[in-house]
Amino acid sequence: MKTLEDVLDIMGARIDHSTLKDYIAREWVRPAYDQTQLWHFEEIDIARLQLVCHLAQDIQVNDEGMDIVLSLLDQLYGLRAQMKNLSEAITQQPSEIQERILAYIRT
Amino acid sequence: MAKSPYEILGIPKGASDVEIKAAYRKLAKKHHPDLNPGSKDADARFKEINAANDLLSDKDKRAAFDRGEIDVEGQPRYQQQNNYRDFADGPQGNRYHFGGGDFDMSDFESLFAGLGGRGKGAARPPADSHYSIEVDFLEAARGAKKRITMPDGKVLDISIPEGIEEGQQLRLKGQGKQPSSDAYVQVHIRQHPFYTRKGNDITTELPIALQESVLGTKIQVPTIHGPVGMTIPKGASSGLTLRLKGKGMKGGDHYVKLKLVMPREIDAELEQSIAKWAETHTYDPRETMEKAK
Repeated sequence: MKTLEDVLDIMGARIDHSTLKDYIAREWVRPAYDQTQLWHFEEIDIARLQLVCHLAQDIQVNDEGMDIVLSLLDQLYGLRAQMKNLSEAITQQPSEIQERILAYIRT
Repeated sequence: MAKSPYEILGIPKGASDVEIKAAYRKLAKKHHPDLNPGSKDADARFKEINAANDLLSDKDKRAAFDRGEIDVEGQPRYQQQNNYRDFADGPQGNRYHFGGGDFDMSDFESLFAGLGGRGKGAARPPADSHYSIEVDFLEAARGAKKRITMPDGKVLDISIPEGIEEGQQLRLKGQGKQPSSDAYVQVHIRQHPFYTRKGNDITTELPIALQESVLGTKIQVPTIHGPVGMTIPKGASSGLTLRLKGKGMKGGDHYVKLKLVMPREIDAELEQSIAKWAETHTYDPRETMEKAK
């Protein structure tokens, strides 16, 4: 668990304080906010911040584009999680049923 | 031999900084691993693109590379970076899933709505040596020998008898999972684009042209045993069914049901000649309907 200051340290020149606060305000990054009024970043929040920085700075996705890109990405990863869930459920089925599902997908 | 950073970005050696940036952005968008979570090589490609960009956007490094002083392997900044997709695909990923959109979790449940009351408890215990396969229409009609790897890795040698029926179960002696046990394979038959079967007989619908119907002709008809010559009698109507004896399965017959197909366009010449014909000729194809009233 990292604080806002820790994250600014890790990111170095890639982001400054006000930009990071802006990203949080736009909900592109959603660290936990506790009662002591401190932001708590987990690893996924930092990785996501690096992704947002890359999209904004290197690929020059603008603010409006970022909302769309992140929304689509979140849906994509959500679907991937559901797919994983579903394929795990399928592997629990008897081989006959698995084979039938495979055959259906292939046709 | 590694590719040069110019090759990686697909730009000429003398490319300007602007060209490098543009090429980099284009490729980075396409190959970013977080934007391509299903692609295994996106990660490697992206690292390569970033390394190439890092090298070429640094004037000193680029000059050193051009002089042959350093090789392609720089210290790509990206290597120290965490991949978002590693987290997004993990359990913590739920924090962000669906966050930006209106995706409803119940969409997933609705996938199974058609299954009705079959809850988890109703699932049958795994039956080790029962399998199910799908075969082509022609394999089922003519018989075939197949070696198939089942989803559990078991390889089966299956001899499909000629004219096997949909859903028929084959017992493969000695091919079960345990030594000297048998495997059971249920065979499902795929539809054929133009053959249908009833018992051992095959039926096809055969489109014929207007002139073939009026004048009669001899044509080749595809059957499961290969093409067979058939005479279309003069004046054949749609629905006329001709039989090719013994061309079905196991001595069954092949029925050919004719279907008259008019030309795509009725040109003036055709129209005029029929109009001229109709001046002096007439016939009532609905005669029998009138009588049956």
